[in-house]
Amino acid sequence: MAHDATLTPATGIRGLWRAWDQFWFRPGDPTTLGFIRLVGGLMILYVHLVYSYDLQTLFGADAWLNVEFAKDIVKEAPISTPPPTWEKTTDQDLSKLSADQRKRVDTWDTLPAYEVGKGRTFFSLWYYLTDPVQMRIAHGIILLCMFFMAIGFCTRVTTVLSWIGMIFYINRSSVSVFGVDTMMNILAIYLMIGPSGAAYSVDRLIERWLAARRGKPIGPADLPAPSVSANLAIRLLQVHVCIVYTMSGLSKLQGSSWWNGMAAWGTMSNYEFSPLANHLYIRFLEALCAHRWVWEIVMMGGSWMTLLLECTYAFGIWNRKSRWLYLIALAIFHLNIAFFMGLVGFSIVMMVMNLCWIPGTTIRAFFASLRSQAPPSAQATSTLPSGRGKLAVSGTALLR
Amino acid sequence: MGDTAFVPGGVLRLCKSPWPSLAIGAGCGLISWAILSWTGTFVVLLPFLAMTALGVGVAIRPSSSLVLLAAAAGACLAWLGMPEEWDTLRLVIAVLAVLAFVSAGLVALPVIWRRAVVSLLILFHLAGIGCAVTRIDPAPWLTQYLWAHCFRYYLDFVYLNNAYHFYAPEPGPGCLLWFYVKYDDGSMQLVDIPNRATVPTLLNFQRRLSIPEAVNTFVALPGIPPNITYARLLAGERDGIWPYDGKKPNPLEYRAPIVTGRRMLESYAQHVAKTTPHPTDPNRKVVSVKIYRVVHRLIMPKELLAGVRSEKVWMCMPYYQGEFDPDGKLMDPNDPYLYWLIPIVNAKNPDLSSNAGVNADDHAAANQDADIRNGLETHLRVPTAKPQPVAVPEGGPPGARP
Repeated sequence: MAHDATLTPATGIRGLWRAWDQFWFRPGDPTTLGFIRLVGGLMILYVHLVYSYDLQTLFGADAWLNVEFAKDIVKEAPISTPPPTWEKTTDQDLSKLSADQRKRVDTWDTLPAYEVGKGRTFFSLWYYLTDPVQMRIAHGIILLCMFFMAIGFCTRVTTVLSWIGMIFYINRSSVSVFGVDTMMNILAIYLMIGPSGAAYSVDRLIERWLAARRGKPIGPADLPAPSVSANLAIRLLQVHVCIVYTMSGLSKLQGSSWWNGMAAWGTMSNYEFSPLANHLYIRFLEALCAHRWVWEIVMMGGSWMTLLLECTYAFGIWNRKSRWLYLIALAIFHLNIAFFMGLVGFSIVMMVMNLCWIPGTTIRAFFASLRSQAPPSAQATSTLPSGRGKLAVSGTALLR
Repeated sequence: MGDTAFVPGGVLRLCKSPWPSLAIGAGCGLISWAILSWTGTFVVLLPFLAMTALGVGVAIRPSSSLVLLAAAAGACLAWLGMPEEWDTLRLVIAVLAVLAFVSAGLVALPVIWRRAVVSLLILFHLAGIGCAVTRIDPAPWLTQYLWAHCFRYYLDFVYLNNAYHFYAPEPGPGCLLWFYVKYDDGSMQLVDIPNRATVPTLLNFQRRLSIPEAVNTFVALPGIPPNITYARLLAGERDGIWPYDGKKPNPLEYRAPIVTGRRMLESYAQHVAKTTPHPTDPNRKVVSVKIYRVVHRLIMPKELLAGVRSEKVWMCMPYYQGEFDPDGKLMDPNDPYLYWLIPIVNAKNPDLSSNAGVNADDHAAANQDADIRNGLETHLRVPTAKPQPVAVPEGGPPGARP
């Protein structure tokens, strides 16, 4: 697999550096990244298209979080931290504070002794643009950038513009963001770093067309040029996804309901999330509740499997033998989240992120099978068009 | 990155030289600066075009230090072309300019040194994420300190502050907000969020699920202050709205939001007041908005089997958040019901109204709608700002500062 974690044995500092270098800087197949861009980009586009309905409600001057308060948070929100010494500061005498300090304490509920700074490095166009017509125009331009990113047109530029646009919405309306925004942001950052337009993109189509015009056609067996930044982006995404699942699992260990199984019931019976308004779903739950043994096994199983999957993900996913098991388990896990909690968008984005574990060869073979063709040959070499000549790296090296 | 770092693809191949694009970018920045300096007018599109064109130039030839330096210079012009009030967007341009400048040095380095620098950046990035995920209480002193003094600038900028505590430590019940909008003709209209029937897609609905959560953090109190309890009991006796646990209310019946939560409520009230016209007479004005934060408790297996359903109003636990004027100002901070649970009880089966358990029998389902003691309906008729015999202690409402 192109992004397999097989490393040469480390011997001393040189060995460590070599292992590090191989892990992060080995040229990688950009196919996986391109596929993630395509699917993830469409999801990002959809999420922001849905914002069209809520443009004024969430981002206008008198939105749920009005623009004055939003800007106040950016400029004035205190940054507090425990003091750097062992001195106790909790007994600060409020009567000795100045009027401004007292007002600040009343507004932000932070004692001056704890405050080490103020303001956040958030940014958003919607802090300034509040005219509805101008907002619609700007929103349309951002959607266009996201569309271009999704189809892979001028990808190097549109991925950056799309990420910046995405942050505009997140920062302006912090009261309405949830998991899907957090995950889309992670995805978009790494799509910016790597050549996500090198495969499954309009850019790639144009590249083929240009190569054909110059008399050096790119055939279906030719792979996108391997790239260090492609490998770097995929590796960063892999490590980040491991962190996400691990922290999600470890944090759940603090809750008793995850140990006694009630957590699964807590998600299945939450009226706002689950399909509890549907009579068929109620019949299903009633059938489950009618047999306590079954109920307890299902709830405990659901809760404990969630813990097991999330807490062991970072260890099991790197191993080629267990990887497919984890990916299948995750697909089932996220399908359950989509059904029982209605978090369809979040589940899709999580599954897109997990595509980072699928090698480019597998993705190409999948699409080749759809076209009923043989997959690109394992001996195919990667060719850089426009006369740069062939790379020394053979396709075989990319298939591990 | 060296050898096979990047292959510009697609339409960018049509442009062999990055310089026209860089020139357009710098030109747009310069024009924006000139217009701003001479006329005070800011043309929003110009810096956007400038940065896009500069980005295209860099994308055509990213391995050239000269190109990157030129892009950095162009970005500086775009920065100058933005007014100071647009400070956060100036920050974005400044960051991109610095990034271009640093990259110019990076691409000039030998491969091994370049990779060493990038390795340091990777470590910084991962350390920042590590700091973000360990910052939630109980958090170590070290991560709090490092976040506040070092990583927050980066993490805030790229929105990587999340700790990924999904449904942890416990998945809680659903939280709603009910806004009762009062008009000058005495009529009232309910705006409840989230409400699936009022939005086109599930995603719009889920966004509204997050809005009540923003006011769902409370001041930690060891118990309800005695004067607060006394005022509540007096009001309950006067109006017939007793606390759920009678004369010895449960501490969970009083949940005061933290200061930022209260400010959020003011913003919410203002929004609802401005976006909820009278249903039949557009000339009617909004005089106030009463807000209730509603916990929609989870149904228990025994209740479900008994035929009880989640849609019942007594499954909801409304906490009064105050009455606000159309500008979002809290009308009476001394209201005795402020931040208290206003009980809605199924009097035939009072156990059904609590989480303590259910007296599940054949009558439970049949009596779901019978004899509902709806404290909320009574409370809606209670006028605000009545003189209170019990003084609230100095320093504002209790829990202003822990």
